[in-house]
Amino acid sequence: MESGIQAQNIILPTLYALLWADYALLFFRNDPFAERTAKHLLQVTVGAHAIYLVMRSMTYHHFPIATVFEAFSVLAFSVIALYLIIESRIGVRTTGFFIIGIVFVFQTISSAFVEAPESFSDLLWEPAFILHVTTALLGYSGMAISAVYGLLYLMLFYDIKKHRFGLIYKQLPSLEVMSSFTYRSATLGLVFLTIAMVGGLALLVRVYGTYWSWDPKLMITFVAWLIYGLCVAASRFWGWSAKRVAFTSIAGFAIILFSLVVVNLVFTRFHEFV
Amino acid sequence: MDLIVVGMNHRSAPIDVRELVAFSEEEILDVLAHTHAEETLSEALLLSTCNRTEFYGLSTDNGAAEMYIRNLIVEKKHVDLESHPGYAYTLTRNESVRHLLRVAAGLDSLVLGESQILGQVRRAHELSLESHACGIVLNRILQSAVSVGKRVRNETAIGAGAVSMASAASELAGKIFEDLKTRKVLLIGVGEMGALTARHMVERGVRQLVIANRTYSKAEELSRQIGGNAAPLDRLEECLADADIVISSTGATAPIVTRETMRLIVNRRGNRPIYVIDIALPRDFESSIADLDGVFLHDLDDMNLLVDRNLEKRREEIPKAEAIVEQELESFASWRSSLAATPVIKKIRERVEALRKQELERHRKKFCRDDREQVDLLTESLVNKILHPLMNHVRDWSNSGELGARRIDTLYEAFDLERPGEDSKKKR
Repeated sequence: MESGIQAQNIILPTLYALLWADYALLFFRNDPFAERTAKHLLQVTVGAHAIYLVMRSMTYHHFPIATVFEAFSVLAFSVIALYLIIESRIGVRTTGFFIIGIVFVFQTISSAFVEAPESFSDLLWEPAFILHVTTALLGYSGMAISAVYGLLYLMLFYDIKKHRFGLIYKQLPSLEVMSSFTYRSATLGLVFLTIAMVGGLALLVRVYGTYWSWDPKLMITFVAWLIYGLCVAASRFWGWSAKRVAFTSIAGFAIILFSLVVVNLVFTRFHEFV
Repeated sequence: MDLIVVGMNHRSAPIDVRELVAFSEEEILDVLAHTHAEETLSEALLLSTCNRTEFYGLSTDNGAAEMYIRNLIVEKKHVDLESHPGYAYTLTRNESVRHLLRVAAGLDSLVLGESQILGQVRRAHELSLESHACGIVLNRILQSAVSVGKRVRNETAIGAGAVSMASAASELAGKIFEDLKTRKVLLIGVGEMGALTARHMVERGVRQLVIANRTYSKAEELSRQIGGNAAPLDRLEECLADADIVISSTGATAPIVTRETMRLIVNRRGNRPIYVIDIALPRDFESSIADLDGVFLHDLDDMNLLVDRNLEKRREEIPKAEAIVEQELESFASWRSSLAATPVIKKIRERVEALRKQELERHRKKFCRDDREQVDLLTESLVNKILHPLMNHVRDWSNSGELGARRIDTLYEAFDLERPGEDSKKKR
């Protein structure tokens, strides 16, 4: 099965590259062929990615988040799976180019650098831990999607304001739809991240016997949680404009990216399972 | 048998001439029934819209057909096209078919790519069928025309984007608000362009329209025409705080809404965005209002910019649309040629089959009952095998121009067959 995983490390980035190219044709040229194939290619790619993660779990006997590169792949999968749900519900494909771009980058980095971990913590097979990590990654995915829609909202917002009737104006759905996606994805992300943090707290108590740790990842995740909490609460209760929500969502995701990349590479200790 | 079209359109004739030859549906039915009763045109179609009146006819003699159509217009509309030289056009052969396909594609429309014409072509087809003036050839041409119309709109962006001021305002509003049906529109002033834009919004189903004007009675009058409620202009700030979309076209010589007024209104509105379409000249809203968060402000120049861009994009699609027209034209020409092959194939088959049956009958007694069925099958198979390559050649010849036509003609002589025109002449 290991050779299958090696093959998948080439197949998956290739599929994502094809998918991204398909959505690029759709966004930039309204290509009828891309329109016909996009949905099916998306489903095939999500299916292939799911198979890859199952194969990896079975071969290496752990949930594939032992290293940052494994976590990248799970994160890419949860973003694309959430996007598949969004697309099938609203039927708008022109925003896919931006989401798939992020997923492609995450999966390509993962496939290029991922290795089979030689040893890892027993925690990686614990259901409570798997739930904690899955919900955390789903939370991050919701926030990533929220940030992308927030960015698209701002691009369209300024195009309309500045009378630029170009590609963004032509291809994106209305500002109202974009702001609704930004808010809903942020809410979804916040809910999952809340579950992940509660679950993580329970694990912290059980494994380390403490209620708190000054671990950088935990701290930054907590800050991201606060930002998205503010984003959702301010939009819902304090009448924040969609523009301000979009800016906040982008800032929140920038912090998550920092947490995932820099902290993993520099401050490794806690939240490391190899 | 050729298709001929005699007509005039928005490019060839001014409206005061076009309106003289416009036909109502009742008149079209009457005219087509008239042509059906006579023999000059074997099939006919009359397309009459606000931008064109075109009479299509199928005939073996184009000169006679043109004269007949012109006389018919004199008879029915008392308009002699000869007295309006240069306004009417006549097209024959491929050009007439191509013209109809281009019309259906919206390539010949006043507003490039507009889709209304396709419905009008369909209606003209229905009227032709209703009056029994539509036969196999015209039916096929109209099917091609409708197919071209659909393909052009599905496969190209020739109908995309707003190309009028009113539709541009609706398009922009649709980029801010997802559903106009839940929105409140405020029209300030009763100017023609503003009223037209508001009417367009009403047609798109906006929830509520308020018309505010300095002269209240005029606002009331307009609200009776296009719907909505009238409001005096001194309630403007209240109306602005309540509206989602504002269309302003007053005749005021200075801005009626300042940045400071608008800033206060925006604060009252909370996080609800407001879209202002200021099509007044001089402008009704101070231009610095556009900098306020939550306010989208567009003026006449912005609207013109959008319309020009959309028209430019439509023009870029013309080559793709023309290619679709040519494809369908080719497909029609091929069908038309195969139509020429159909009678000779049918006649040869009938002749050979008759001979086969005659010979079978002559030698019937030479075979026992069981063998007769086998002989029947054998001869039928033999005939099919002999004719098969010939039939294929005939189909090829029907698509190969003059030489092919001569070869088919030779077949009529070789098999001593009557040509299609000859049968009907004999019957008469």
